[in-house]
Amino acid sequence: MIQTEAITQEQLDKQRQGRLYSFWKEFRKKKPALFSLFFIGFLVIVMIIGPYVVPYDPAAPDYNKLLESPSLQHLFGTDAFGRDILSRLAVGARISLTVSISAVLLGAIVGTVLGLISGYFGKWMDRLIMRICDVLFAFPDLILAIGIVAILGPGLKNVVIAVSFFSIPSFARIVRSATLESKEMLFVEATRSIGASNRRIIWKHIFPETIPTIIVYFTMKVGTAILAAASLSFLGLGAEPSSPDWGAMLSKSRDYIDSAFHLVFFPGLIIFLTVLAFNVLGDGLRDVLDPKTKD
Amino acid sequence: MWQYIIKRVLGLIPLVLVVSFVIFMFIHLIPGDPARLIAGKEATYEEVQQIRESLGLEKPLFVQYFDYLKSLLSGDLGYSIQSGAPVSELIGERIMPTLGLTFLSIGWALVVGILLGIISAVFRNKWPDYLGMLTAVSGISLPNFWVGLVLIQLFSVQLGLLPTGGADGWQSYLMPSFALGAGIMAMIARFTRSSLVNTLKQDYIRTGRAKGLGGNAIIFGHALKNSLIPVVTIAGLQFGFLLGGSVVVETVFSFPGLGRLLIDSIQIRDYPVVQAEILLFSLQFILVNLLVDIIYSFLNPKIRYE
Amino acid sequence: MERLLQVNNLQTAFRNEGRLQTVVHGISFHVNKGEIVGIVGESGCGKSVTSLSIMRLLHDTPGEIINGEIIYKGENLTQLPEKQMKKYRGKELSMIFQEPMTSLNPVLKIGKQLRESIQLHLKLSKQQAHEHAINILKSVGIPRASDLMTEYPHQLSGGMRQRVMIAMAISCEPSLLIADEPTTALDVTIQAQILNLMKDIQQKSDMGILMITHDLGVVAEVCDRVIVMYAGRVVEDSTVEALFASPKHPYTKGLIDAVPKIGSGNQRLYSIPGTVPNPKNMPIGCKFAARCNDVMDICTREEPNLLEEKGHSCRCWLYHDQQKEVNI
Repeated sequence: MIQTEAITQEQLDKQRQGRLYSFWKEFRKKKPALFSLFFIGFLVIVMIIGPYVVPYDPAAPDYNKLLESPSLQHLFGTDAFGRDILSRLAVGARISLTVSISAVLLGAIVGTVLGLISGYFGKWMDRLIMRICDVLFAFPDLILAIGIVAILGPGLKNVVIAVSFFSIPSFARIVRSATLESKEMLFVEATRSIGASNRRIIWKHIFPETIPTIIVYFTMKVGTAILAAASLSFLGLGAEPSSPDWGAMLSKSRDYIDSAFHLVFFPGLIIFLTVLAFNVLGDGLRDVLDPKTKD
Repeated sequence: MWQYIIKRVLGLIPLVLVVSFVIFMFIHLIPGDPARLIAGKEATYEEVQQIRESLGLEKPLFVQYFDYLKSLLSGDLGYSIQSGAPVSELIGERIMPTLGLTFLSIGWALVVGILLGIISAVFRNKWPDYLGMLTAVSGISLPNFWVGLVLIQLFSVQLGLLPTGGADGWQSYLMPSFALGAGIMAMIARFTRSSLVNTLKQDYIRTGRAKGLGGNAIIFGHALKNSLIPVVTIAGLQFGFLLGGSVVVETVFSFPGLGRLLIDSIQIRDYPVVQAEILLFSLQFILVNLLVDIIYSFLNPKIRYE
Repeated sequence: MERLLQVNNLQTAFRNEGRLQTVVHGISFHVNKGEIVGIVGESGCGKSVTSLSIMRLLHDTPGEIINGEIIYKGENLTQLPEKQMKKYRGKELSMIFQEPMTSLNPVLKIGKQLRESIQLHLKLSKQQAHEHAINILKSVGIPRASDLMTEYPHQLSGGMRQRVMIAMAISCEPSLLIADEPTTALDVTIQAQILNLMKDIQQKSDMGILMITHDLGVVAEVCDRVIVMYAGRVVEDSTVEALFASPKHPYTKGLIDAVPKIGSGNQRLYSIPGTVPNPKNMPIGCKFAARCNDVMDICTREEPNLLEEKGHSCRCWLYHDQQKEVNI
């Protein structure tokens, strides 16, 4: 009996290893997605080493160089305090990416747990969780986030909570349906009959099957989260207005739209490119990992 | 059909009750004493007490919620702390511009999105498709506030063609509705494409070809209706995105609508207004999705006839 | 007898990640006027692809005809411009598909779907087309024809839907009807009704029918001649009587043995061992060699030709010394 399970486990591991290889073989062909992955990798490097390598102190004002247009010294120009925009964007990557990724991570963890429970146990548990999701879905995403920030007060920590909140129900639903699917698969039936505990079945057998779906969805949601967090900061509900957060930089730049457009242009462009990279990567991952949802 | 609609409407009642309860709790969830929050920092103890009584804050929570529902049903949304005006009046002034903006945005987004989706599906894996889907994925990734600011720079600052803000005349609706609709247009385009591509693989499309129908008869006569049915659902879900986006876009364009009222009210801690607005946005979203369900069932004969 | 359709050396391939993969390997056969010809074989033998090739409906698959001729009433369909071909589809040649559940458009009324080809090909007005459609529905044994016109496919049973499909296919009085597994998805009792209906129609209108099936029972029931296909090739071609009386190819023998017979008692049904070879990995010699009971040395080395004797052709080394080569 124990041996039966051992074989199953071994086969599963092998199967998953093979999957990883064939995933890479397929993914390599998706050039836009591969390029996006490199771009995101580059951003992550900037996030880590940015503060140590930027050419100018992102916080130090230089009153001789107020609102300068892009030049060789300041590729993206300077802001109303003479601070280098490129340096501020590079340092701001840490804030913007940390906020959005941790928000989605938080939402994904809670949502995944809810989805697994809901899909695996079914019955009243499922109904309860799905009703809670319905209630969360009844609030438009950004309105829910704005409401939460209105209660908790502005600030990045609260932005993370607010943004994670609206990711929860979508993760819960998508993991639930992936769970329902893998629950039906034969090996789960087999392990259950051996008498493994529910927790073990969920953790060892069902959760791994839902990982591809979660990865795809996670990537796509990061793009949404960056936009939402930037929107909140833009509205003055997120990052400190003086911080180099991308959304906050744009918020301040509005006042200079007719005199120094580069203040508006570059932070927005960076947000756009980053979100685009996550979306394109998400599309590519979905095509490879979750082909049934492809057109 | 009517039975289905009635069933759907009745099914929404518990959801609406729970949502209204969550929003009712809003004031109570804010850290601190609600009466003091509403009275303001300078208020005397007596004033705070008076507000507490007038709002019924000393009653049990359940009774308070019941009172809240009762006043909602009679159209009473409370009073603004800032101006003392009834919230319903404040909202009444702002609702028309926002509705106009919202419908204009979803309107153009649907038309352009569906067209773009059809073109992409018909020229699947050829350059119009790549171009269309590049447009779509970019549209989804664009921050709408940035689009708004770039538009202002281009059409107001550089070309001097359009007003930078306000809601006077149709010209002031153009840029906000473009900024607001772009993302939804992109999502509708993507979804239309994949839905149509999927439909074109169906057996009944082959039957149509076997009858001798040409490409246009196949796409417009047979495939489009089938593939637009799911698009309706997506458009409904995107409506929430639109409501959230309107808050941001109205701020960019200083547009006198509900979205800006919400942000202004949050900044001055005018909580009754904030509460009423969140309720309004959510109810609107629920209502639109109900409407979408009904349209869906109307388009789908399988539901219509059962 | 007037020759309706003559297929010569047809080769059809699918494009799979840029590479062409041949599925139908140079098959030849013909259908005469007023004749029901069966094409029989297991799934994946290329019989459906053959029918789609004749209709030139391979675009969606996506496949293409890479060689050969399909001559219909003296005209080579493979050379016909698409615009001309459209006029043939539904008018000269029409087709019935396997799945009556999914072959009708779920959001259009039956009436609209029937009228469509009538209006297109017979140039009738909407009203005339409506009446014509009702008559056709009656002729395929649908009693409440005019009610049906305003109904949607999901309101009908499988057998009813297949009748509608047949009505649709014969509405413009085609000379050739291609039926791709028309009864496979139906209940046994309904199957018999549909087959009888098709036979009736054929006798009344004198059209030719190409019946694609995996079921020799269907062949025995309705066909005049039969072509047995295996791995994209014709392996046997004969009249139905000759095929059942003296099957030649070991594959055909296997298929016949696999048909349940009345009075055969509790004997276990025979099934041919093994599976159809993968098109990516075709053996060199006879494609059936790996599953054949009578396999010889030569079978795995070289592929036999299709040889004819008294109108009965077979592609097997067993008969090679006694027969002359077929020239079609």
